[in-house]
Amino acid sequence: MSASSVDETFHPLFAGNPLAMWIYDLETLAFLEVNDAAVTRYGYSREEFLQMRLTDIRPPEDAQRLLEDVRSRRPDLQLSGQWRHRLRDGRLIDVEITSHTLNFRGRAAALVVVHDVTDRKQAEAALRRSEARKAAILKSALDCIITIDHEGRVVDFNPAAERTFGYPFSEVVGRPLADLIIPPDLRQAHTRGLARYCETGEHVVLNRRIELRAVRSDGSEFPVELAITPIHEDGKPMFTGYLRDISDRKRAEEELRRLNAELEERVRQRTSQLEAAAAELEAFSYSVSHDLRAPLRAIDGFSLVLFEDHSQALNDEARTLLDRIRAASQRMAQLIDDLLDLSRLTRAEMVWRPVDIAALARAVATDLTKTDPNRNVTFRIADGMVASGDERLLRAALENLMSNSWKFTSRMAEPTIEVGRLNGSGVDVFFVRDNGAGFDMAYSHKLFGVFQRLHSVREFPGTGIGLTTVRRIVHRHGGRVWAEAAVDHGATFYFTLRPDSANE
Amino acid sequence: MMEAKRILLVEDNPDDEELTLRALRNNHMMNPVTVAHDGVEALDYLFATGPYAGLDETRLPAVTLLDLKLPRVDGLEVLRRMRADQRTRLLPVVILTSSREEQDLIDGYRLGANSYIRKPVDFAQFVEAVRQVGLYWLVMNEGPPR
Repeated sequence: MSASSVDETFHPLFAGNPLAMWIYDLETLAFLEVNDAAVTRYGYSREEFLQMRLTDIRPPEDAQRLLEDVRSRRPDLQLSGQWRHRLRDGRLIDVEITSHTLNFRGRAAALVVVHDVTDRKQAEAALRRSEARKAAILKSALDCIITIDHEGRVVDFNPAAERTFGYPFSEVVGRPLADLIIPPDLRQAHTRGLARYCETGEHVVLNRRIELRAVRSDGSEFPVELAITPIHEDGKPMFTGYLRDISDRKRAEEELRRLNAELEERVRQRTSQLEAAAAELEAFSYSVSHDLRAPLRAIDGFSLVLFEDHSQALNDEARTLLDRIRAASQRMAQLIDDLLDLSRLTRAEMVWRPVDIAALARAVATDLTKTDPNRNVTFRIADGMVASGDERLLRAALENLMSNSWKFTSRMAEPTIEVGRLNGSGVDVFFVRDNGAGFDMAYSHKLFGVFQRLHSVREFPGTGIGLTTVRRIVHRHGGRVWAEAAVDHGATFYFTLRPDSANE
Repeated sequence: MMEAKRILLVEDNPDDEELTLRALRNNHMMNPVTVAHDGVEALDYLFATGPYAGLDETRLPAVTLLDLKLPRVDGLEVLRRMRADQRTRLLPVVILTSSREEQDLIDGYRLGANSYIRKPVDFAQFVEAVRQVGLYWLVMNEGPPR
């Protein structure tokens, strides 16, 4: 066969081959011929190729190995292994080279067939990295990670699983999971569920968090939290379970439940004690209201009868004494009424809603003015004071504070009563201020006690319950009350109606 | 002459009874007064049972002054039974009591009391209260037809 006929027959196999191919001079390493696939893959034109030597498409560090390979005594056909080639744009690709020596146009040459394995190499590297990552995860995971095949035999059993269940991997691999970590009473359900999933794809426990019992190698059972994910590979599914020993959590939950139950029981006991106390107080108040007043009425009534029906038999001193008996019994009646009011305010259920403090203060001022129209008291009530609270209680508080002011300004030339709100940030502070008799701040700690009075009855009448009532109302709103005063320079009572955020 | 309108006073405390009678006298009210000392006695009188068996219709009071806290049957129960009976259903009842417990007021009105008066400790005020009650219920008020 002549050379030209070989060319004619085989040239298309070379030129049209989808694999990159070239022929190079074994002595000079110059490219003697390249095919189209090489031109396409490497990015050099044919003319450029024919100007280059084999070393030009290798990274410099591979040159030595190339020269050794070329000079070594070589068989006609050789698989010369894996190499890196550089493309025209500088990128490196991984190739497997098959070469065959031949005589080309009178020169000792080699025909090279290039298998581009870049993609395969990359995929292999990715797989290796992924395998390494997976192994690291399995190894260092705090949770037990166990994989079984479609017949329930153990495939993976990570170190956490080894620690938790007390089996080394070597002992469990290939064995049915059911015999190892599943409590006897759950084994049947496990086997049935596995079989049903493999047949029908139906499942109840997959892909969600469930709580079950598991058993250790020593036979002890413990609670686990578990999630199972099926993996489909080559038709037969595998299952990976992520398990966690939740004994501690269960104990804590149990403890919490027990403490809660105990607390509830204690609250229930306290509540019933409180209810009993409240009922007793109710009965007491009722009896005070009814029974303590009756004798007072008799004392007062019969004193008056004595006075009116037997006045001839009485001298002036006797009549004065009768007056004092009556005054005392009426005062006691007033004390009883005030105490009852106080206890009622304490017991009454609160109805919370927005309350127009300014309107309440104006209404109280009107009422006070009616009690003594001859007095000329100036009221200064700020507009737009609104608070959240129980209207009835707040009215009682304002009545007590404002009637105190009304009383203690009775000797002043220009009595003034002011109701307002302090401007500032935080919780609203309301105040009732007067320019009346005031009091000595040295006694301010006694101000809010029951029956405590800082003025004699002769000076200013009163039972000493008003400010106790105010304090109780303010406290029921979660607020506080305090006063500033000086003798003969008036008094200011401040109150808030919810907790100060600053003090919390 | 028309028969004087009768007052039924239901009161267990002898002092209060005496003071109430005195207050009526002080106000020159000469109407006949029947005193019942507890709830049972009041019901016997109103329904002509027990010691009051055989009394005729004219015994029924123009107004009943009813204390609440009574031995045996209490005032609210007396009121309840009066309102439940055809014969006494419409009779005016004025609760006259020491109590000013809100619940008593509510129960009293709910059970059909016509008026609720809290006895003042000051006897002068008490006399005035009795005068007004008498004036209103015995003189001004037209009672229900018999």
